[in-house]
Amino acid sequence: MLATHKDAEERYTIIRKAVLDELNREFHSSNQNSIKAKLIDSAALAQSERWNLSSKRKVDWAWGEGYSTFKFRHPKRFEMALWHNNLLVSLSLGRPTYQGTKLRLDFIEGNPDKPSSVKVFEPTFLAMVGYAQALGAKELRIMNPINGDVKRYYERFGFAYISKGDYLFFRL
Amino acid sequence: MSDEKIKLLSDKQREKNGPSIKDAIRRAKQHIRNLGADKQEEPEGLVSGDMKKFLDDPDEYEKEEGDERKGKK
Repeated sequence: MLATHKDAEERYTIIRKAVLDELNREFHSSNQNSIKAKLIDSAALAQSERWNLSSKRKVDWAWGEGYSTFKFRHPKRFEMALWHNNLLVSLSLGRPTYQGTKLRLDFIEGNPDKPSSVKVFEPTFLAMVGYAQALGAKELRIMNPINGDVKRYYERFGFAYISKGDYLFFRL
Repeated sequence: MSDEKIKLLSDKQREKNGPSIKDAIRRAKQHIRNLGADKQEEPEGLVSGDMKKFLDDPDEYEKEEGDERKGKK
């Protein structure tokens, strides 16, 4: 790893942590003490492997490989592992665009067996807004919604769908 | 860099950026409430993205952002 890459990784890790710390304070102040946002680590990746055992899982992604490859290529990435007590409820990964004006959510997956009362997109949206603020990005994008239900759900948050490119955007 | 040093820098970063990040998160939360999105049921198995496409050929996956990249110096 080049020194400049290592330096960027460290600098952006500080920003990622600052955003998740702020989000956790928000959870605390709204009495959502069972929810915690963390960076993606080996414990989260190990739990994500259990999702393969679920008949409800919609994709067969290998988060370990995906995260490792994405991490190496994108030191400025957005990432979050969302926990409900000791249960991993979602993983998400994205990055600023090359101009830095937009923040993309490249991958998000909710635990297929999480309690239905635990929502994962709302905290992800809040974390993305916080990270976009820190980076100076003015737009959020969600790439490749898996189906119409998920797409419509994002639209309820104010996102607009662009079929050419298969993504949704939200101007900050 | 040690975890302790990262935490220290993280705290300093928060002091510097904290209010704006905090405000942005609060504004986003209010926006969600205003739209009533917090009352919506989340679809089961929420997933977005194409990790397979990314892993098959990361360069090709990222090439699709062509219009953004053209302006890159």
